[in-house]
Amino acid sequence: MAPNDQTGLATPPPKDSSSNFDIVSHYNRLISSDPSTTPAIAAIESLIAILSATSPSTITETITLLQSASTTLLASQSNPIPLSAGTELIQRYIITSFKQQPAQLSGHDFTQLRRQLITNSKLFVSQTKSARSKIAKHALPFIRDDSTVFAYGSSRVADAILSHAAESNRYFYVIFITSDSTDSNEATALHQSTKRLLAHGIPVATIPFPTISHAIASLPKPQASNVLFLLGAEAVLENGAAVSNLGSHLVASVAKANSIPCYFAAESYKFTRQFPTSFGDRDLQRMGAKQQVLRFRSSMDDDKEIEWSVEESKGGGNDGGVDITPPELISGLITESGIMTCEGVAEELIKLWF
Amino acid sequence: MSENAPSTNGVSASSSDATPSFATMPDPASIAEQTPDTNSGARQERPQPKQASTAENIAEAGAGVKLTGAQLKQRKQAEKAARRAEKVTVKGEQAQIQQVQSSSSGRPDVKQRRSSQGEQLQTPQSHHKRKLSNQPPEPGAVRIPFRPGQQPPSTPQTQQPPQPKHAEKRVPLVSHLYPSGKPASLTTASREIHPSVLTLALQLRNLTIAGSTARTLSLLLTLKRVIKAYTTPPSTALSRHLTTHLSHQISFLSSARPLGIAQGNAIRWLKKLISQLDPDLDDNDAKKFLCDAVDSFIQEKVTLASEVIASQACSRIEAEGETILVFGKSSVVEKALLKAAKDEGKKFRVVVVDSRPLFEGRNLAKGLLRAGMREGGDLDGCQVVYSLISGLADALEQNCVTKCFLGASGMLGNGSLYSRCGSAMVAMMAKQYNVPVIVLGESLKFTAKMAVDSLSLNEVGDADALVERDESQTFTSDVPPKQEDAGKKGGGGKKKGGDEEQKEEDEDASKNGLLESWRDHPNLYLLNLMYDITPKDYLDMVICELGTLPPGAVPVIGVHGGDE
Repeated sequence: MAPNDQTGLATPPPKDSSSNFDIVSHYNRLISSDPSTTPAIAAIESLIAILSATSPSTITETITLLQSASTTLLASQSNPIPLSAGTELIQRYIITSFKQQPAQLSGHDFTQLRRQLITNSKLFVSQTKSARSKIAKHALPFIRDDSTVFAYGSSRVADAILSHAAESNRYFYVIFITSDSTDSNEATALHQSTKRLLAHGIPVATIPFPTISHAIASLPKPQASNVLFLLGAEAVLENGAAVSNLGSHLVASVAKANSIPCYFAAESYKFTRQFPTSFGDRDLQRMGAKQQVLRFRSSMDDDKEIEWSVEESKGGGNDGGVDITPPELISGLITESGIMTCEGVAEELIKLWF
Repeated sequence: MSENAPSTNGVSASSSDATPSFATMPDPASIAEQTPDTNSGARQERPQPKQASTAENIAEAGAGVKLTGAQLKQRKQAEKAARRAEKVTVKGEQAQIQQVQSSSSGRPDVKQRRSSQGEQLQTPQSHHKRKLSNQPPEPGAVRIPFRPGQQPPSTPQTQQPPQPKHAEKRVPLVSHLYPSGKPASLTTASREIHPSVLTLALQLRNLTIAGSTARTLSLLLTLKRVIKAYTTPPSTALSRHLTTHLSHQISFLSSARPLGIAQGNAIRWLKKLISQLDPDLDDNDAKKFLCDAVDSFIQEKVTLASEVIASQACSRIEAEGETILVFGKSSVVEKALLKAAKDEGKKFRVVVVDSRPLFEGRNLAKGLLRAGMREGGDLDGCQVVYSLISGLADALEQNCVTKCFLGASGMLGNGSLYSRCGSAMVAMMAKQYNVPVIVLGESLKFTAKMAVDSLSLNEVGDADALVERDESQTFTSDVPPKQEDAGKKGGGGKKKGGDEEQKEEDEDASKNGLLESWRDHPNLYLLNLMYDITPKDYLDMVICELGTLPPGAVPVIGVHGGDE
C-alpha cells in the first residue's frame, strides 16, 4: 500500500505519524472484527482514527489529510461506492463543524478543536449505529400478519427488520431467494437468519434465483394478496437508485412485473452524491467500482473470460458484485428517518450539502 | 384629446416630450450594434408625426390643395366637426382606444405618432362608431371616404396595414396568454424609459435576443445602466424610489416580450437587494454597490454557473462512441458540447434537431461547425447531423443516440421542464428509445411555479411566423425553388402542356394561399406557442451549478437558488 499523501503537504505536520498509519489495514481490521459493521461506518471510523493518530495543526491540513486518506481507502476497494458515502459524509460533517465554530477558530487552540471534533465524530458514529434498529421499527407496519416477504441477498438491515418483526410477534412467511454464486459469506448469513427466524416460529422457504416468478405464482391465495419484496441497499444514489447485491435489479423487475411492492432498506448514511445515467457496468465504473459483467469472447480458447468477474477485493466485505436498481422499480426506501420516495434522497443530500 | 388644432399641439408636445428622454441618454456604445440603429430610428420618427398630420390637414382642407397654416386656422371653426370625424377615420380608431386603454397620462402626441405609423393593433370599440354615425356630415367639409359600417373588416381598403386584425384573432383557449397591454414600440415608451431599455425592448420584441440566458444577461446589464443613470428625486429615498423607477422600465420590457422565468428571478433578486439597502447610504455608494452586486450576480449565477454545468455535462460524455441528441439552441448545451470536443478532445456525434418557425438549431449547428466539428476541421472526429423534428424518430434510430441534452427556459416546482416548444416531444421520444434525457439549466431558472399543461404557462409568439414564406433557405417550405421547379416541369410537362399552366396557377394560389390570408377566414386561427412543458417522468437528470439532481428535487434547490 502506498504511503499516505499528506507527506506532500506544504506544511507537514510536526510529528508525522500519519505516514505510518495504514488506513486500509485499519479499515479491513474493523470490517473483519465486527460483522455488523457496514463499510460506510468502517470508513468513517477509519477516518476518525487517522484524525486522532495524526496531529494536523490547521483546518486545511485536516481536510487535505482526510481527502487523501479517503482517496487511498477508496482506491483499495473493488466496490468503493458504499465507502464513498461514508467518507463524503464525515468530510462534510467536519467541514460544517469547522464552519460553525468560528469563535473557537480565532482562539488558535486547534488541538482542542480537533479533540472536540473527534469526540463529536465518535458520537456521530454511535448515533448512526443505532440507525438499524430505528429502520426495523419503521418497517414494522409493512410486515403484517400473514404477509409474505421475499428477501434477497445478504443484508444486515433486511435481517434486522425481519428479526424485529418476528420478535414483535408478527406471524409472516419469509422466502429467501438465493443467488447461484458460491459466496460462503452469503451462505452463512442465510443460515443464521433462517435459524433465528425459525426460532421465532416464522416459516422460511429458500428458493433459487430462477424460480422467483414461479414461486410468486405458486403462492396460496390468502398469502398472495399480501406480498412484498424487501432488499437491503449498500448505497443509495442521488436519484434514488439503489446499489445492491448483483441480481437485485432483476428481482425488483420481477416484483414490478407482478405489481408487488419492492422496498429497499438503507440507513441514510448510505446516501451518496452520485448520479447514474443508466444502470450498467459503465455507471459503476464511473463511481469507481471495478466490475465487469459483460465480456465477449473472441475464440473458444478464452473460456475463463466469459464469466463475469469482480476484481478480488483486498479487504473483506460481501463482494459478490453489485448492480444498480433504477428508482422506477423501487416502491420506497426504508430509512431511519422514515419511509422515503426515491426523490426524497436528493432532498436529503442537498440538505446535507448546502 | 383636444379638438382645437390637434396636430400642431400634438407635434409640439411630442418634440418636447421626446427630447428629454434622448437628451438624458448615456453612452449607447456599449449596447450591441443595435443602439445606434434604434436611436437614429427614433430620431427619424420624430418628424414623422408632423408630416403625417400636415398631410391630414391637407386632406381636410380639400382635394390636395396645399394651404398655409394661416388659411388652415381660418377654416378651422367651420370644419371643426368634420375634422373630428375625419381624424377618427384617418387615424383609425386605435388612437382613441389607446387613449382609453393607456394607463399613463394620455399624452396626445404619443398616440398620434403611433397611429400615424400604423403600428398599433387594437380592437375598435363600439362607442367610436356610434360617435361617427351620429356625426352629421357637414356640407362644407371635404371628407376622406369612409364607410362606417365596414370599419374593422375593410382594413385593407382604408389604407391601414392588415395588422389591426392580428390582435383580434386570438385563439380563445389561450386568450389569457396574449399580451394585454399595448405592445412595446418606440412610441409607446413614456419619458422615464431609459434609452438602453428601449433598445433592449426592441431587441427582445424582434427576437434579436431570444435565449433565456441571453435575455437575463441583457436585462441585468441594462438595469445596471439604468441604475447608473438614476438620480434620486428630492425628498425620496433611493431604496424606496428606485424600485418603482425600475418597475416602469421592466413593465415596458415585459410589454415587448413577457418576462422569462430567469428574468423574473433576477428582477426579484435585484428588487429585494434594493429594498434592503441602508437608507442612510449615499446615493453614489448605493448605486456603486448595486452595480457591483449585479456584476457579481451575473458572474456567479450565469457565467460561472454555465461553466460548472458545462463541465459537469462534459463528464457525462464518454471519450468515444457517444451520440448526443440536442434540440434547438441552448447556450449551455453548446458550451458543454464545445468543451467536451475542444478541451477534453472527446469524439462524438451531435444530432441537432430543429423545428419551425425559429430554426434556432441552425445557429447551434453553425456554431459547432464553425468550431471545427467537421471533416478536416479543428475538431475532426466529431460530427454534426442536422434534422428537423419531423424526422426525430429517424434521427434517433439512424444515429444510435446515446444521450439527449436539453436546454431549459425554466424548471418548474413540480420538476417539469419549461423549454422551447418541441422539447417535450424530443424528451418523450428519447425516453421511448431508452435514451437518458439530461437537462442543463442554471439554478437561476428554477421556479416554484407549477404547470401540468403547456397552456397555463406559456407565451404566444407571432402567428405570422407560422405562415409559409417563399424563402429558398427555409427547408420546410413546400414551394420548391423556382429553377428546380422549372426543371422538373420540363421533364414531365411534355405530354400535358395545358395542365402545366393550371398547375402553376395553383401554385401561385397556394403561395399566397390559405395561411397567408388566415385573418380573412373567420374560423381559421394560427397559434404559435413558444414553450412547452415536459413532465418529469421524461427527464432523467437536471444538471445545475449546484450539482446533478433528479427533476423532482428541483423545488429543494429552488429555495436556495431562484427565490433567493
